[in-house]
Amino acid sequence: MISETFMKIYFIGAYAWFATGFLLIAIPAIAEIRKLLFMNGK
Amino acid sequence: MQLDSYIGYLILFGFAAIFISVSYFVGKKFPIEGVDDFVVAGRTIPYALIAASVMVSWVWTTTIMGAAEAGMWFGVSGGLNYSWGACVPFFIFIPLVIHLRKMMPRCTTFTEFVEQRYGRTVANIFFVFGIGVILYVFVEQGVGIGIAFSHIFGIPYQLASLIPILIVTTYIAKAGLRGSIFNDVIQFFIISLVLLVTVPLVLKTIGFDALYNGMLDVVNNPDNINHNPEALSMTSAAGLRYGIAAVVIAMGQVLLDQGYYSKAISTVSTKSLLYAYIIGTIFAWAPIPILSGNVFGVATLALGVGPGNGIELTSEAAPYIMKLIYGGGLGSVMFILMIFMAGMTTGGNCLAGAQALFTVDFYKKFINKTATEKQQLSFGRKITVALGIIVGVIAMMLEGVSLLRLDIFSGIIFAAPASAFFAGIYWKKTSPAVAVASIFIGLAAGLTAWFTIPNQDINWFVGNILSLTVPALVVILGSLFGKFEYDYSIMKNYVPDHEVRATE
Repeated sequence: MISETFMKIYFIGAYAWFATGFLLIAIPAIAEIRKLLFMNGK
Repeated sequence: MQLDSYIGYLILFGFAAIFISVSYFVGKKFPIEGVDDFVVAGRTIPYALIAASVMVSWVWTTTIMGAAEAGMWFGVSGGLNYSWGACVPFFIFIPLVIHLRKMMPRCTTFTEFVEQRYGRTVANIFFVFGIGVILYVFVEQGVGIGIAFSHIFGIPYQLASLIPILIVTTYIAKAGLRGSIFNDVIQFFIISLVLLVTVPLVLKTIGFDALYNGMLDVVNNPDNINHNPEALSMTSAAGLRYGIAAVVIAMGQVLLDQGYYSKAISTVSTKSLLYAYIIGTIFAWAPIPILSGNVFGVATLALGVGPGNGIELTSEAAPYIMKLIYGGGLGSVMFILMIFMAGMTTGGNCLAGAQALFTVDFYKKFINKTATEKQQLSFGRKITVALGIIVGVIAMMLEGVSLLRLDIFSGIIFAAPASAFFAGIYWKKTSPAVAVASIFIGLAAGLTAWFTIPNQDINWFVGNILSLTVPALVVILGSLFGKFEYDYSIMKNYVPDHEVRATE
């Protein structure tokens, strides 16, 4: 059975994990979309 | 509490306008010049757009609602077991598709590879499985969205399931895979931001002390309606079984879904493909079912809510927590946004895959052998619309049908060809006859277990395991004792019927 401290680390860790994944995609995705939209032609 | 239906219609038609406008803009900015441009975006899509697209494509309506339910059934291990179980197929898919891309640089669809490796007959069998898994998954998303909209907004189920399918169909028929990926990015931001805001709010509102004490009561109090002695165990045996079943069920849904191949092929380089799939699945997708399982499922358990006390079914855990945190109106809208986006992106991935299979593999081989790329494109658009309508009609007819059992049954059907495909990529000794035998023997073993084992609690589990492992055994034994040897060097020079402009 897990302790309360473990549960906190587990929940907050999963959130930090997701936030990291989000940032690793979101920041370059915005840059890539800007580049694609403002470049001339294909 | 049911909200006014006009809010639901506003969401449906508002997002329809946004997504269809995006596809028209993408179509204008990046005119489609040929089949390769249409089905794999000219193989020019950069890393982050693919990562966002892969992440949302694998976020199904069940990733949120099903994982929350797993949290209620299995406690703190439920979301984790859902997560690793559904991630394992990607650990197989990522190296496999990279290997395929290097081995057969001009390949577009997985059935093209199968045809070169095993011949036309086996390719046709895989084509049928590929279309089957795509239609099944797309229908399931339509049903999920239809149930959510009709439940929350009172919109007739038939209309609520049909409209999202037609939206997806319109933007994919218009702008092909590129239009789908641009819309996926918008949907990625919506799903992610709702989760990023909701999770801390739930934890702050309920509090860790109350959560843990509530779970202690679930574990120790036999009178608790959710009593489960393993609810605070990370190694729950029932949860582990659930994870293993998730591997089998997800295996065919990944390996036979052309949508994932199309996205992998459409990336600008192999390095981008590797990063996109690792970040999209392991970093961005994997924590979502863990969060859903804990923040929706475990929180519901800890609050003493269960079937008959606050909710009717365990599948209502996620909307219950959303309403608790945001209030009835806003909570319902936030919940529906997640479900709507999840269903649309998964359905879009399926339809883009089906579009590729029919445009590249079907039309020139079975209908018009001398077709030009323009004719192929025209057929691709028409078949996309036709498939969308077929899926819409099937989804409309499935009102009130529980898809949980169907989902488990689908694992038996779609896991059977996985071993033949995997061996075809890596092992020169697997012959077409062994590949076909493995598929049908595996299917027979899985279906026999499903129909003959009287205990309904284990027949699904045994059926799924047999459907995956028996074909593997047939492939290993059949290849070891056979004399067949395939020459992979042929694939390097494979040239498809349509022009491929960009290869590494």
